[in-house]
Amino acid sequence: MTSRMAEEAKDFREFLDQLRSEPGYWKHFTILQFTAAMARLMKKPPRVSGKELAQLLGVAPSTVSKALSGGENLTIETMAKIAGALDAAVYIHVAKKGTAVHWVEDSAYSYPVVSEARVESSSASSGVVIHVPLPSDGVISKQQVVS
Amino acid sequence: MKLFEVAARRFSVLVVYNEEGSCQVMEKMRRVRVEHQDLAYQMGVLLYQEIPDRGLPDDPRRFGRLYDEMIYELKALEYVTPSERLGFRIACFFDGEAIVCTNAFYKKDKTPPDQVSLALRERARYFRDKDLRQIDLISWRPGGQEHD
Repeated sequence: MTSRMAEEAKDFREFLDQLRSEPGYWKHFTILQFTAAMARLMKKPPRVSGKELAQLLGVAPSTVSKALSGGENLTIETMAKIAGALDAAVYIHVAKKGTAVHWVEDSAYSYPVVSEARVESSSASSGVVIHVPLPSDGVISKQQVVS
Repeated sequence: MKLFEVAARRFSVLVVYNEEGSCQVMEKMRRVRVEHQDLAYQMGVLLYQEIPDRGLPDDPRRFGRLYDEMIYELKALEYVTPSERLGFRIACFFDGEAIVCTNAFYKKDKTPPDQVSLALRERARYFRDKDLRQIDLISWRPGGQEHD
């Protein structure tokens, strides 16, 4: 390897380090997490095309395409709407940069979620809320929750 | 052939040095960072985070075939105006668990044909040199040193 190549490699290493030290890089890292997750979700059965997703959202297909292209700075509201159209939600995990993060979807601990559409059509007063006084030590034990 | 190892975790991402000894992908990335910073960020995330950890994106907006089953492209996109798009692409090919990047270019409408030929030439050179055991890898480990 010539010294010029070694120098170039060193420069590129520094260039990548510098990119990774900037907030813009991590913004796109987050956008990519979302768009990649949406792409995977859309491919799961029943497969949903970009056009069908646009219909579910009531927007033009180009709007969906633009949002999932990675070229747009998505708001949390937009992400929640897009995921919500497929009956999904955005879960967030924050960890040190460079950490290998693996998500596990555990159906054993899943709970039923009433979709927004169903909430709108049901009676809001049908639920029962029980108020329990907080223990003096402020610690809620499992026993107290169950009782 | 000289190759620079951008990352090597579950998958390796490598970029080639051409026969003149310069790395077109590196040079283009540097220019893109000045001209369209968001495109450089997007591509940086693909090269250094997404592909090494998760493999190639299963998303046609981020990855696609460029020429037959031989050359593929990594994709980044920026809206220069609300309706005007500018693409930034890196041509690449596979060798087992390694993704070898050959050249980078802007794409506005159609892929410049010379970029496809360049990628095909570099791919042929890579497999020829691999057969001849003439691949020289310059690796990068954060906090470590490259070797020659």
